[in-house]
Amino acid sequence: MRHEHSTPARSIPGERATSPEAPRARRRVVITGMGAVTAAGRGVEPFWRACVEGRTALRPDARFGACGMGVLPLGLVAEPLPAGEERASALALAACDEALRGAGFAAGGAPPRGAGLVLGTCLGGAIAALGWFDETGRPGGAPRRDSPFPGPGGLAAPALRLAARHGLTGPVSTISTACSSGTGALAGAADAIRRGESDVMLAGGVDALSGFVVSGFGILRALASTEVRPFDRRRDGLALGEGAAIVVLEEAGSARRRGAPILAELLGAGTALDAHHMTGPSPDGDGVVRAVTAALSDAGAVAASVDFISAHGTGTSFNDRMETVAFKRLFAGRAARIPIDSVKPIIGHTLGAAGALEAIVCARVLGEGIVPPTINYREPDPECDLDYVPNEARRVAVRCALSTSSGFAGHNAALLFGAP
Amino acid sequence: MRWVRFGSDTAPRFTAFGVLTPAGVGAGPLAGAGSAVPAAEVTIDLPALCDEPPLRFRRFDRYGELGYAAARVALRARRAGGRPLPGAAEPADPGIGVFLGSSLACWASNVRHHRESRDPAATQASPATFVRTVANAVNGDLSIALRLGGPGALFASGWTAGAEAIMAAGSALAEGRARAVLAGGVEAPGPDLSAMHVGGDAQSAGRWFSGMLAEGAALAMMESAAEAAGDLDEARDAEPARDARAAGPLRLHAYGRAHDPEQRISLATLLDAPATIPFGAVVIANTMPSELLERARVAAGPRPVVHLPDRTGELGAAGAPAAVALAEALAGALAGGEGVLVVTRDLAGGVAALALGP
Repeated sequence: MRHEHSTPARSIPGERATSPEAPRARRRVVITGMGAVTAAGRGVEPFWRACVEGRTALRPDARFGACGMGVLPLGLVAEPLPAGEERASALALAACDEALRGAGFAAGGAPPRGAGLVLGTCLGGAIAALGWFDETGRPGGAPRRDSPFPGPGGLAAPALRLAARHGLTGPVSTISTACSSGTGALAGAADAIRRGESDVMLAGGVDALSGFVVSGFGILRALASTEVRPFDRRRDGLALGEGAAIVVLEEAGSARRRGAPILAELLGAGTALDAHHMTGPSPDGDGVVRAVTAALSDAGAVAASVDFISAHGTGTSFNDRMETVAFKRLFAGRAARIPIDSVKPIIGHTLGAAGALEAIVCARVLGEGIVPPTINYREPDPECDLDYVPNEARRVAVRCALSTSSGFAGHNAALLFGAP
Repeated sequence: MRWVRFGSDTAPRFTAFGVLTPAGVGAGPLAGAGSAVPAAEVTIDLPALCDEPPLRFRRFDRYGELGYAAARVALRARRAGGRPLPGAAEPADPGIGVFLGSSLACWASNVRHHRESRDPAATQASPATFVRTVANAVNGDLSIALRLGGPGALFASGWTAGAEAIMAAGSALAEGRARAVLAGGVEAPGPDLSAMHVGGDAQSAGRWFSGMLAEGAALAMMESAAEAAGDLDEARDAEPARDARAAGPLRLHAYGRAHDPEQRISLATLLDAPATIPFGAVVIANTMPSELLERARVAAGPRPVVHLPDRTGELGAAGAPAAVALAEALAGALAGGEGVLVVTRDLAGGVAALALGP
């Protein structure tokens, strides 16, 4: 089977879509299963309950004191994980098992032949690879033949582990676009389905915490001292977490034929580069505006259709102000009436997993009509003056949810979800 | 494997290449058998190649140096072909993206930060090093320096990642998400890692790769059919650059990818794929064990089969984009209408195929 590209009737890049209708007939992509592992627990339910109840899973932790970081609020996963696995792979395997079970594949033991995977990660299994290099890569040291190199840079290790475990034979890909990796992975997997490469794609993100990451954000002075306060005037940084999220994306017709649960539709996706700075976002929100505009165009939707935003919302001064500017540019007078949340004070910034976890939030918001709160919000910032759903969950009927992510090197990504 | 096929009117074009391998600059050194031998390092003076003072290069690690220099070579070729990209003073161009692939990405910076950050007082760790530990750093370098604000991604799927970058770029162009994309692969394993792979260490670990792990970068400027047509019209009167030239109208006709750890997808299967064009030559972009290579040569019949690592060393994710540049050079010698199949296989099971032709 093959798929032919037709000339699309889509807007040019950077131009706002003007028609609510889908620009052309194409394969629709739905979510049929979800799995998560976070500091809130193993499974989507503990994660979602913590989000809705506004209960943080971050705990003061001193284990990275050896990196000079002292006590920090961290979102570490405490639950047992699959044994004998490198940590990022173990997190991803646990999330994947839940997603496949939810999609109804567990009985058959595996997704269908030809299923693929796109996994987003900042470091993947690189920490394990670096550990190997410590032992074998000393200048003048001889390679240890009893200790195989654990993979190409380690970045692809979790994706390869999932592919092996579930017998995937479709496209298996790893995307690494810093903190937008998970969002970019869902975008890439949806594209693979739309282009006809596969009918079923697993997609998600994973990152494990390490001294490597904690010290890096520490020396950038990006870490919160006590708690994470997105969009609050006193916000002073982010808290790091670890975790994994996997969703089963499926061509809509295929999902319906096998009676799979349809949890949400992935309507469109977009990515855009800031072209501004390696670590700081463009103050005018240009990159986010372009990514969201591309996602709207991809969905054949207009800005007016968005009625919930899962923001990147890291709790850093620059990010939260930038996102506020971007949402005002995108939604103009409606911006202040769209509920916006950040779940990062609940589970921390899980880096490559963040966008995938926030995709799960979008699906649950669409399914249940409850928007989780942005906790620790106490003092409004005149520069962040939108509706961030402060401190308490809210019942809102949502038909179209937007998720945005931004990462180092200026990568931005946006996903647009519709109710099933 | 399911193929994604582009229609003849929408097939994206390769309009310029920037290729840096141990064999030299461009596809020329790769095209002649026996003219290049495997080596681990690119020995070119990169700042001089870019006509830049070395100041900018001080910010880069080797991964960044190679990626930036390859992009500059590609852009010089594009300028020779007509229009330059917008200058740094202009707003970022939302129609030009950056899709790259790398197997090892910022490995050397990772090693450096890993060692520095274990100092209990963290006095050795440096923000400048940590910033270079994001795998997508080169995408950022290029988008900032060249004001490219379009779509982008860094694929880190092993040796097939560079081919994936070309696939993603081609689809973005065909679907109207961008009008031009810098796409390709960059690998900078560094001398320690390269040395460890020589002499069969990887083989002893149960893998078949025992070749020369080499550094390199290969980037293509890919453009939509409409965008490229404008450039090529203007190219006829342009002066060629000193070490790069405007590429011909090589097109990406189709692609396919799969996870195939058991190596069930043979070259014969790929050659028979309904990929719109007959293949007159095959380029194998990454190290293939001798047994499989022999089978591939039998399957290819009278078609020439080039095993790129024999001429460059193992370029990892830069192999497939370098092979595309070589395909452009080979295509000129083929019968009218014949194309080139570029195949890449990863150690861990990834397989990717690019169907290229006029």
